[in-house]
Amino acid sequence: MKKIFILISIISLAFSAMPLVGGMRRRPIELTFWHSMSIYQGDILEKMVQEYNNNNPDIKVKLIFQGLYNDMRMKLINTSKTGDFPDLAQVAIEYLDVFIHDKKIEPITSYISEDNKYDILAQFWNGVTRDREIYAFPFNQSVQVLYYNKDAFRKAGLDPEKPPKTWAEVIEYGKILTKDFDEDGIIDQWAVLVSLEGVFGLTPLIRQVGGEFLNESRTEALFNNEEGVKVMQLVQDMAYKYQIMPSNWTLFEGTNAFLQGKIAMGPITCAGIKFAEENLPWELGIAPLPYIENKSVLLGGAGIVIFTKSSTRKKAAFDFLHWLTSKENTIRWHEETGYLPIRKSAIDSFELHSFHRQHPNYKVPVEQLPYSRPPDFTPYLPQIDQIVRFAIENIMIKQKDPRKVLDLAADRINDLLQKEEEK
Amino acid sequence: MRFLFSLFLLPIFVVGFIKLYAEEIYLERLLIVGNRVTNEKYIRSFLTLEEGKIYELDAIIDEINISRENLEKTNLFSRIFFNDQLDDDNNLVLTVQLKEKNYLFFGPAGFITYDEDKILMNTGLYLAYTNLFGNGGTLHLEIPLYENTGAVLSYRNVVRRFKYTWETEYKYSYKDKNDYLVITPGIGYLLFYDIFSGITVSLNMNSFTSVIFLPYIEWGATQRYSFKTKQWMYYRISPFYGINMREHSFYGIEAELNFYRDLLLKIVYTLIVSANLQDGEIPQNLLLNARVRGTYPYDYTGNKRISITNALHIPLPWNSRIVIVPFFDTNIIGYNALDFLFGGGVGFHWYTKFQDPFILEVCFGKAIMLNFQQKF
Repeated sequence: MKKIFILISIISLAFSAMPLVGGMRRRPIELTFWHSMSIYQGDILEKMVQEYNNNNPDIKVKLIFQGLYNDMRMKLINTSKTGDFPDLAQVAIEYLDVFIHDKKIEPITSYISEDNKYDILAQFWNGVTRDREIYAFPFNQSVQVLYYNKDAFRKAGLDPEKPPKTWAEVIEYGKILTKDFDEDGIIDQWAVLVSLEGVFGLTPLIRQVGGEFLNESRTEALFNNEEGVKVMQLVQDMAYKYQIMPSNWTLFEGTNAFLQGKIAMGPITCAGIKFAEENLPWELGIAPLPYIENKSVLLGGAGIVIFTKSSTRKKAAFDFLHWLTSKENTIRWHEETGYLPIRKSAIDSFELHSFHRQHPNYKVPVEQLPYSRPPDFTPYLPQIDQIVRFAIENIMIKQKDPRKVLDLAADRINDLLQKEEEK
Repeated sequence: MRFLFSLFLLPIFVVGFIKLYAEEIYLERLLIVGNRVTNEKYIRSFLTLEEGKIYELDAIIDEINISRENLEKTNLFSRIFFNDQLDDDNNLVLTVQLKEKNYLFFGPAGFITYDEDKILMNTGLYLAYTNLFGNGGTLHLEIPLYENTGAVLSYRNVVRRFKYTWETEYKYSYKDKNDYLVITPGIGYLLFYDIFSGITVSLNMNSFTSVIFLPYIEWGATQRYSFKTKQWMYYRISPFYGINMREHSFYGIEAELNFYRDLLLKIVYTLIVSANLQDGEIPQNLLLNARVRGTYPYDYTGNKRISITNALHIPLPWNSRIVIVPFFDTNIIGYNALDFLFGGGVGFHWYTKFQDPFILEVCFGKAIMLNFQQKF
């Protein structure tokens, strides 16, 4: 009888303990992360997030693709009406101002450790800092580099290990690389495509001749000065005077033609190096962006904004960000995409040195970091970009006078900036 | 005076410059982490770095790359990361951080053919473990489930420059009421960068008990180790000589060429050409069969065969784990009168966690064939 009593007591205890054990298992914090990485970069990000989730039972990151940077901006603007923001979102550094201006994001400066402030390069902090306050965590950062087809260089009798260093050399090389193979009067291989994608294409070239796009207080356009006219005249001459590049191709058309070997070289973001090396049927060369007078490249890309206001979720978000941008993962992200490694510890590491020894193309964007600068930030950059794109189209496709077109565009931008300031 | 001062400074700059670019590093420790299955001793055999040695910066980078390439060639790791840290005495501690791949694969294998109201099958199960005993050995087990019963068990391993292989095959045919056992040990040696030479000795025990000597030479690789490689090849050539208990001999030669070319956007063209020639009293289980997908292999036999396989591997742009493979095969096979066979179809390769990959092919030749995982 005594034994039966003991047995019943043990079973009862075991049953009563079960909900307690179940209750002890905490539900993981689920963080929603909106991102803008498409196709292969998205696959890599997904793999990394999956790995984080597998190793961190207390935090689960749910990755949702929200289109490219511009789509992400529009979705976040729409979401701001309801306040239903994700916990984390990947926002292009030039679009941060839109949300800072509307006070939709808060500074995270106090959450950044001294170690991170020191280890992540100043250029990358500059991209996400406004008025000494940090608004996003640097993640995928890129610069433009010159992609060139080594096979086309060889066929034209040029040394594939000596790409052009200046735009003047690009023109010289261009005369040799532009080919009408079947002599039917239609160019079969263009030497170069400089697809000036609005503000982002024009800004580094203006800086290369000592100019600026906007003034320091961001109240006036400066791109219509002598420097801007000089740059647009140079690009227009490449199409019409020297006839080494097509005049009316978009970046998409140009990229496709480059893939097929119909363009020998062109400035493209370093974020595509891995994709190009993996997918091109010919040998890819990467060189620094050619310069006119001074070396200058535009630092682009995105940072990760923390929208959540809950301190627990914020802590979890930082845990994830520290993992995602750790020395090992920033190297992995660089090796598997071409994006820049953001940490000094990564750039100085033996792992990266040994990778660059085997894959010298990836070293080029890292070497361009000292000459890199982000664009001139203003909350009205999307509208300014539209005006500049229209102006470039007029110069390149309709062959209009660069000075007149740039003056007109600058007037429209100055009006816009003035009206917004008055508001 | 200024000139003399410059002259005085010059050696200081030169020494400083040399010291900067000839920086010496003392490798205090070499650690390995992340190897849950693979033996540390086995991993260390691929590392050319030495603890307690002083390296120049350039030399250590070279050694890291050699060690990484050695580890990549084992095909056991999905990620290899050399993490450098300095200890309290400013000496280098290098940690090799590894992520192991999945080593266990299993699934169905075989094919079903439909030809003029006749269904013929050759189906079974396979199981492969690619890191047996944690030293990179591959164990492969196949169990036929239709008409034949038994097992094919093989083991292969490469230790430094030596390649060891062992294959045991036992089959009992319900249909023909006979059985056979084949035991084939082999050893190979890495002569140069990727050239192996070796010999296998095959002991056949059935109604035709025989011993076959098969020396071989092979070079190249069937898979690329770097995404920068746009074209790669593999060749193998092996003459053989066999003798059976009735003191009848047989002999022949096998040659194979695999050619791979990355066309564009990860689309890879594959060409496999093989040629076989046999003579003498060939045992029944060694006769050549047709190797055309879409044709029942045992309907066509011979002692001469030329086989050509063309395929395109097209990964889906939105999911690179799924690869669509259109293919076209041709064979010339027979004894004196040769048959010309051809077939083609489309394959679906799915790189799942447990199958690398899962292959399903719909093939049209002399018959209609559904092939899963069977390598022709």
